[in-house]
Amino acid sequence: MKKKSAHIFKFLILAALAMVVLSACSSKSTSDSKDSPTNTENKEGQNAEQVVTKEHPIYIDKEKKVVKVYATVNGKYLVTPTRHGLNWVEGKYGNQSVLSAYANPLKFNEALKEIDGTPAVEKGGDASKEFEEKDGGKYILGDQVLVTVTWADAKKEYDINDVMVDSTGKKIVYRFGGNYDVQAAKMTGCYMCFDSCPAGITSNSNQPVGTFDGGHAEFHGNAKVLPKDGTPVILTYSIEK
Amino acid sequence: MTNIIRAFIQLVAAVFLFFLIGLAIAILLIQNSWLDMRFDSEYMVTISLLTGLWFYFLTTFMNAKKFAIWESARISVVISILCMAVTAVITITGGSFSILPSYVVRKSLFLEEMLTLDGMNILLIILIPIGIAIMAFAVWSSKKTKTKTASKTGWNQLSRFQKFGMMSLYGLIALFLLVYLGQGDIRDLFNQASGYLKDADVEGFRDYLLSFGPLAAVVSGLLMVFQAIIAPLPAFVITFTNGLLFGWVWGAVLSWSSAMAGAVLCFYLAKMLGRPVVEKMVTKKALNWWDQFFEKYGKHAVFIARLVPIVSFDLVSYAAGVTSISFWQFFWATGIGQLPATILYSYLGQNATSTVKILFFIFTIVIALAVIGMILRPKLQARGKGKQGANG
Repeated sequence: MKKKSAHIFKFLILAALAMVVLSACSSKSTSDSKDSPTNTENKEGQNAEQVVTKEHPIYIDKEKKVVKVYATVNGKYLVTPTRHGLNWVEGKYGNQSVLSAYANPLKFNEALKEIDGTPAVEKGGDASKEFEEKDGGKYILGDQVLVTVTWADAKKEYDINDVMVDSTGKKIVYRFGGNYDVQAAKMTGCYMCFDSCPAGITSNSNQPVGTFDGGHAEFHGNAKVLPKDGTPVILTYSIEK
Repeated sequence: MTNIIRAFIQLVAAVFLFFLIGLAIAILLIQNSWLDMRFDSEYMVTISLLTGLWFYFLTTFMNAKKFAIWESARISVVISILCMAVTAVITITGGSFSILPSYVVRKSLFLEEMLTLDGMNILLIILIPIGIAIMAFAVWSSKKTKTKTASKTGWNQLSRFQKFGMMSLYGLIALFLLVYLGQGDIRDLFNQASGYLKDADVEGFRDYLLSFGPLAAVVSGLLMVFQAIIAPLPAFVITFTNGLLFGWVWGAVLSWSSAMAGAVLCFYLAKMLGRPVVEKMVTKKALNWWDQFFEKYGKHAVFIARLVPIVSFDLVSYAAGVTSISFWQFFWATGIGQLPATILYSYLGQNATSTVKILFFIFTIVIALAVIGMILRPKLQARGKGKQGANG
């Protein structure tokens, strides 16, 4: 009997040790896979719509100089105001945007740079120079970014101003703010903000910093044009030089 | 069988009433854009449902009939009509009737990956009338039959101190859950802190504390108290980091005082909650072990337990609260007992940070062996006795 008990003890100790070792290995492999750049794709000869998916949410077409981003519609912000146009679902403000993105915003920043976009503030750059002081506040600088949106049953490729609404009637003009360092540190998840923003990769240069928080304008998705909650859409970004 | 059906109806009525309350509050809060950009009010429904369950538990298992608001015709009718009216008026006038309620409910129940908004709407159309009917039946049946619920721990037998303790503990847990689920920044801070502590990453945790600037010591202290009360996180990693960050002397002072604050809170919380609740928190087995330990070593038990680093610090604090030991005996035994380990970890934290991984590994193995031993001991003893009996 004593021998049997000793065997059970040995077996359990070995099992416990194996679990400790295995859990250490599995946590390592998880962190490794997160760090690896698997989301940015550039597959020549393939249709962008076939390549850009939830699993591969960013596609760079270097020839045409466009970046395509997979996203889904968040129904709440078709009927509720927000300051976020597109956010990464895993970011701090992941579900506070009209559209939900599935790739880390840092990869989006790098993708825009690959199509020759120049941000207002580079990685490691001086963040104090990313805004222009004008009457009414601080406006984001950087290259202008053209944004269009389409989805499976869409009649056409819609301009961002067709699918998003600014209560003041001003047009939304996105610029490549950059803010790589801020995103890396705070990971708010912001791809596209509706007013000039010190954290968003791109933000609206037609509305100054603090527009939404100050109650000067409200933004939401256009429920008459955008498809219903959960529908996948593809955003296409190009740089206006 | 009738009692089971009645209990089920009461449960559904409680949950449904609190669901309506949570939904109305969430939709009201979402109307404030400033708040909506900083807080996911949808989780008000989650917390409200939990509150409904908590009130049902108090009513059913502790005979606290005054919490059964769903049994009162006047209260349940007024509350449910008011809540449904608030929800309907806001969403109909805002043009969000077919989106916002279903969105809020789907998110609060963590069904985002499983249900579309249309699917959620269909579910609500089916469930809301059923909920109303069950609530009406619950009111009617409670009037017809005044049930006598047998209860080991009646609410009225508890002192005001214990009642206050139970409600405060629930309030604190609910508030923490609400903030954790609803506020991205705070959730992120907690996840980061628990990640560093679980991985015993002293340098990562030091950088994390440093990100709070002059509040680093306050955050460290609060985390030490927090882990003592709720979270099963390794406190010695905080002590190591305090040694690394503030030097071993000040690090030890900070760790010692915050651990004392955590221990005192646990001690009083246990006194407030009473033995049956503490038994559920730390498990009956653990509390029995402590009883035997306390019986063997008397008032020195706390001091001895504090000297042995593998004995759970929080278990001892909670368990001591339900024994006859006085507060000052507990305070001094804890204070002096935890001093050697605190100084040693602080010193190692400042001078040999890498040892934390080794220490962590040793702790894991020793605790695993202790748990295995605790599980197997009764069986082995029984077998041993059986064998002796057979030989005799």
